[in-house]
Amino acid sequence: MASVWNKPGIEAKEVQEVLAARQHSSLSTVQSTLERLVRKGLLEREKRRHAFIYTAAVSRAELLGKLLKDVIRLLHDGSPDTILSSFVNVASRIDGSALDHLEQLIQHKRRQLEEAEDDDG
Amino acid sequence: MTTVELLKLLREMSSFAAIWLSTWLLLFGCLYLVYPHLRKKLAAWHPATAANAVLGLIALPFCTSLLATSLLFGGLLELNVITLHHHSADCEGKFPRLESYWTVAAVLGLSALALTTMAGKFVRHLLAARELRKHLMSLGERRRDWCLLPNDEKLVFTLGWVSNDIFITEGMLRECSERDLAIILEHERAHAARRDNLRILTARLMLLAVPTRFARPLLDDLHLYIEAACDFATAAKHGALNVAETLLRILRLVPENFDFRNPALVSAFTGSEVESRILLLVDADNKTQLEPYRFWPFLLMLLFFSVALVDPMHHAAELLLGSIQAAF
Repeated sequence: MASVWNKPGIEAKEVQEVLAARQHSSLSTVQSTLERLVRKGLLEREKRRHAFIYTAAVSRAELLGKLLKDVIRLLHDGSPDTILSSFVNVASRIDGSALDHLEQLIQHKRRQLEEAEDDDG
Repeated sequence: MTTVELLKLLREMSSFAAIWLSTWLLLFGCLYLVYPHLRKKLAAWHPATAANAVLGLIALPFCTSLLATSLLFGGLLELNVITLHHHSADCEGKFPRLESYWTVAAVLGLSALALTTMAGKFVRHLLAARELRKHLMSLGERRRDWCLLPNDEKLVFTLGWVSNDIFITEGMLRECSERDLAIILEHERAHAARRDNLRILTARLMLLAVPTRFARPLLDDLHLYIEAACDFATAAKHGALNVAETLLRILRLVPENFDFRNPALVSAFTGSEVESRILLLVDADNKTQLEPYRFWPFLLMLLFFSVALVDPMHHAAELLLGSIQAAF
């Protein structure tokens, strides 16, 4: 996808050349991967003379947005909790007044600790 | 191995599976009834100790039933532990085993199906997470030990199995102070150091045969105490109240575009996990870490219950397998 985003209208052979710097992939492997991305709706292809040229159907930002929606859905679903976790449980929605109450509790405790420190000092 | 031997082995296996599963569920039922009383004690402990205790409790029915069934079938304790009854202590040849091939096939088939389904589900999640991680890594910008995702959504999450990767979106980073970021990263590092993914996987395996509705209270508490243990590890460096404030700030930012009214998403048993974590942190100076968890109390309980169970299991097994045989 990165090579298609960097050069819209790229051919399979050119993608193979870009990838060659990192890993060896045969032309048929690259072509079948590109075809799979076309079927997934991530790329569009157009016949130009003898070869197909590929253009991205979604931008980087759109793809990332879609992936993050999957992450949120998985976090809510809760089933893959051995693999995916969040700093706060996104299903732990509590209303604003309860959050305010917790904030007051923290501030109260902080004042208590400060007063205790002052007394010690 | 001859066909006769193979059939005998299959009969043994299905009898073993039927007794093990029944004992497992029965012991879990006892734990389920006792657990609400134990929870009050757990809440007073340091979260790291409480997390280990919950995991130990979850493991107890599974391990006890497996060990007791193995002892029962191994015959090691037959003469010493099993009391004399109608056919004296000589059970060989009289101990009922599943004989009907249909029953044997049904018990083995169901056991294999349950195991395959669970293993398949786990592998599917693992592969999906690996794919997702690969895509997110390629779209994000690698920082020291985390990855920044160029998106306005406010999210921070960890993805991975053995080596966890932390992802933070730009939307979240804009709202975070440097201290918040340090606390989040420390919390996630604590998960990796404690191998919490392995703890959760172990718990899920030990609750494999238990319907989700009944397993939920224990799993929710395990989650809570694991998260709280990481909060406390972070608090040792950044202060408990600072961690509590960061939790609260991040909780105010999580995406609101989902239906939180879905009862499957919110546990009635635990209440709000984050709220409990904040309350634990506010009360952190009253929680002293108990002696580091050791396996010996768990192993002693396991051995005691297993040996004590052999005799009643023997009689119950005769009744259970006899009834299954009679039914088919």
